[in-house]
Amino acid sequence: MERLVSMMKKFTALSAIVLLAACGQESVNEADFYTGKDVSYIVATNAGGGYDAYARMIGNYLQKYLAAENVIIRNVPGAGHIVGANTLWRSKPDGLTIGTFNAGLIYGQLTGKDGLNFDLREFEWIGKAAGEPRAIVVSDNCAIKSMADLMAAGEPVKFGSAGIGSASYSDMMLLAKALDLNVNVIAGFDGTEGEMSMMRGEICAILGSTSSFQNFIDAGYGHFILSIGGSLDGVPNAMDLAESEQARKLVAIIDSLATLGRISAAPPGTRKERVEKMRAAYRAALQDPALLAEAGRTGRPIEPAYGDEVRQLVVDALDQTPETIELIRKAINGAQ
Amino acid sequence: MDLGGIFDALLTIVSSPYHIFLLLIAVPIGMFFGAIPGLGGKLGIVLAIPFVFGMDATAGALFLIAMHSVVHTGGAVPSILFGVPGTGPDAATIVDGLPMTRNGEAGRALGAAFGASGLGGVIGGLFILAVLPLLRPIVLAFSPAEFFLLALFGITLIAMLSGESLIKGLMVGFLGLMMAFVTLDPQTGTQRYTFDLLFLWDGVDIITAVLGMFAIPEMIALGVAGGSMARADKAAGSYGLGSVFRGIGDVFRHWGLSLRTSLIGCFIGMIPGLGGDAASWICYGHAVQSSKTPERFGEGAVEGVIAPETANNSKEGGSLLPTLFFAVPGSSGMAILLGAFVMLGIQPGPGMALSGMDIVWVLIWGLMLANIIAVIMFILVAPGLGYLSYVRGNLLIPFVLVLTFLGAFLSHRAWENMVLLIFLGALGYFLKKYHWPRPPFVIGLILGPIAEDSFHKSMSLWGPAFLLRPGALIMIGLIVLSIAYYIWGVVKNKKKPEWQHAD
Amino acid sequence: MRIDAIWNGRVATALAMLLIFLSMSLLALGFPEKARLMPLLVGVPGTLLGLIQLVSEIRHARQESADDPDIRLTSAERSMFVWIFLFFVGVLGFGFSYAAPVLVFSFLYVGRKESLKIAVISAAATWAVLFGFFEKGFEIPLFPGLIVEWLLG
Repeated sequence: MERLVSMMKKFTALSAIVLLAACGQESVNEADFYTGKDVSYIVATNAGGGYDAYARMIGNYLQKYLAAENVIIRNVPGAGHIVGANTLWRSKPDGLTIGTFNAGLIYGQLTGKDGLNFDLREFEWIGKAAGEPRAIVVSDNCAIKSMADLMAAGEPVKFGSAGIGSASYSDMMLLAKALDLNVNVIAGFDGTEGEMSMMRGEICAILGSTSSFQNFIDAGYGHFILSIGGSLDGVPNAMDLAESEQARKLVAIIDSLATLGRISAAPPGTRKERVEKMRAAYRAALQDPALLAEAGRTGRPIEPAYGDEVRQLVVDALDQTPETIELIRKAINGAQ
Repeated sequence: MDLGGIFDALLTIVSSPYHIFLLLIAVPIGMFFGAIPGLGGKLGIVLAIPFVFGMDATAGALFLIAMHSVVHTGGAVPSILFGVPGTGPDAATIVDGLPMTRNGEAGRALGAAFGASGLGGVIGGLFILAVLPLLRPIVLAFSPAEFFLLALFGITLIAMLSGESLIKGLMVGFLGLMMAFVTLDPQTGTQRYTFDLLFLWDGVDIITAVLGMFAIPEMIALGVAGGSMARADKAAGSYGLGSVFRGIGDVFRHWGLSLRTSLIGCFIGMIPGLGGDAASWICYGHAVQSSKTPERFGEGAVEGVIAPETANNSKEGGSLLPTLFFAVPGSSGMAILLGAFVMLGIQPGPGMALSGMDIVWVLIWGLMLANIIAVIMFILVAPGLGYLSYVRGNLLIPFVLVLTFLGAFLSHRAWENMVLLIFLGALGYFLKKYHWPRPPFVIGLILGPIAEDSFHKSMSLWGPAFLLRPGALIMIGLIVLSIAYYIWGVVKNKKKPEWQHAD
Repeated sequence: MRIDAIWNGRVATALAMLLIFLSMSLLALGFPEKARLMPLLVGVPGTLLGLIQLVSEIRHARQESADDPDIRLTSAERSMFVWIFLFFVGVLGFGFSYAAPVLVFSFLYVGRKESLKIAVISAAATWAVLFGFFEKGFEIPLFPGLIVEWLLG
């Protein structure tokens, strides 16, 4: 026990010294603050998968442009990105921690979901790496061939989506509400399970990001019937089909969340100079020809936006009237 | 499809010292990531990707597939020696592997695990070749309805793994199922038993549960009993090369079982969505069920090591199929591999059969060669590993405890899992002490979510009529047969006059 | 005392299992209709089985002699429980890289009276693997410990 006490004393003393040293350094050379330091990049999913891959790719170039010693990927998975975002929220705002998570958490904040301990408006937004329009793809096994068929469907059309509470499920429910679609959304098709199910002729269609279906469509298993935000040849746009002001608002939310792909932020209260430095490095990284080449080879689309632009998109998406929020809540929780 | 390239691909690999060198490096790395609980093959591949980036497609793909295909060979080692599963699918190996170590048969158990892994891996490769023309109909034949019944079939194995007390076995199995319900309800999204704790939203972590049920109780027991893991004394026990080869021989002595479980593993691997954890437990259950002496299981039956280990490695061959030809990964590990292939310029998907068969052959050979190399490498170090079972428990306990906590943390990167580990560890110890069978807990925990999720999907898609689908009817038939077989076995044993039990 | 006559480890284990099923089944009643189906489908039979098992253990307990060594905690068991709890508290508070070497050392040197040499080498090896291998080599951040996190802000 005595040994333990002395250990603890030593440890406390040691950490005090480390803290003092860190403070001293801070004031001296803010100009090259990041030089030789370790930066943590929190990823709200486990290793492997899109968020992890983007972070590891961008992290390499951030390290170069910050002149940091290391950019260490910290996987903090759980509860559909909430644990990761919570962790980033309460991380020390010293500029040495940033994080990436799904912009679908905007739905969570709008509807006051349990477990969210953050306010997305307050994060110091660094930028976003991707973002592409959503679209509905239908299987060729299905009787529904076009958007007109879907709008006129007598029987509920079976749609697949990821688990309840996920961003893709919320998108789907919102779209169904906005366009008054007669659909039966079956949740729990993760990853490519939905495509398998369409190939087996079970579910009829899925809503998702355009590029994720490219393999499926190239192989001749299905085609797009609706695009949200983007423009696909010969395919109607959801905004044109939305009849009321309310409906257009809902479609706009889906669209702006789709735009906010692979977002990165620093904890609130991070010093301005450091945020600016991080933003500059992020911008330089995403404009680096080597990164663009790598992204092209690995099939990861890059559609960047930076700093205040991303912040504005987030703030706008969260700025909804109580009526719209109520509508969203009803749409998303409709199944319960 | 051009079959002529098959042997050209083999020649490409074995005639190039560079490729052989890559295989020799990739195999131990893969085994290492498998052997540390919580690290796992997925992280291994993610960390290896930067190194592979500069290689050409053949070399890079060979390196990654070699690494990926031997992860579970490495994962068997801590399962057998300490009851610490290197990976989730290696958990089933504990049930009989650990008692074998306790009986002083660590060498034989390791030999059996390596032999079985190697054989499973090779059969997995051959399976790909055999099944290529039938791939599409087989994969598409499995819908949520069949998933549900397959999971239900696995759950009925709980009764067969209950050993002496059916009530105790059922209760532990049901407890596993109850723990599987600790998550967000898949149908309504409401919190079930999560008590607003975010780390429980994704369910009870399987690695943590297995560590709590097996590793912690084992370390307590070792600390209490003193001595070493192996209860037999050093002179009587064996861990030398001889016993390792005896274990490898066991795999071929039980060739029927080895072949069957390899094939079951391939099938389960080939169907996206079931996962490797289910494969090894279903194969373990099959070994018990098909044995003439089921009472030996859990006490150190070598078949109990062979069955899950063949399945673990053969399923990788199976899951390569949908990954390459549908671009639909058969497992989460394969999903990461798929991303890495794309990065190397390999474009998986239906076009693969037309354009890229050369690389497919390379992958298949790489898979088989890596498995063979893994066995050879492991035979060399096996006596050393087996010796660990004779190291004083005192020296082992602190390291295994650190490893156990590390595994619980790393598997979900959540410190809360260490709290869960302590609770399950205490429960697990008393279950062990008072002879409650623990494998049913893990089966319930693994198969519960598959059963629930696919039940809801089937009901939403077809209503109760899903049970009348042809595939479902076949599965129901299998379940009824297996239950009948079990009851018949019990009744027959009871009817036997006392004197017949003696031999 | 009557309670003493039927109270032992086996009964306690059966009772614990029964209580888990009973409380989880009761909690399930509070879930929405669709969400409670599965938990009740398993929880209610589990509770019933638990009752049967508990009754049978109590019957056994009455017949058995009180000096069965199996039925209560030995001091060796208690000591192992304490050590595991110490490992848990140590790692939880101070993280892997700091706590694990200290715990390995104290288990060997204080707990098991191993030689100082063995204990120091073991602790150093633990630190080398956790810090050198995981944190530095593979850049896998390990749990830093709640108290350490709090100390460092």
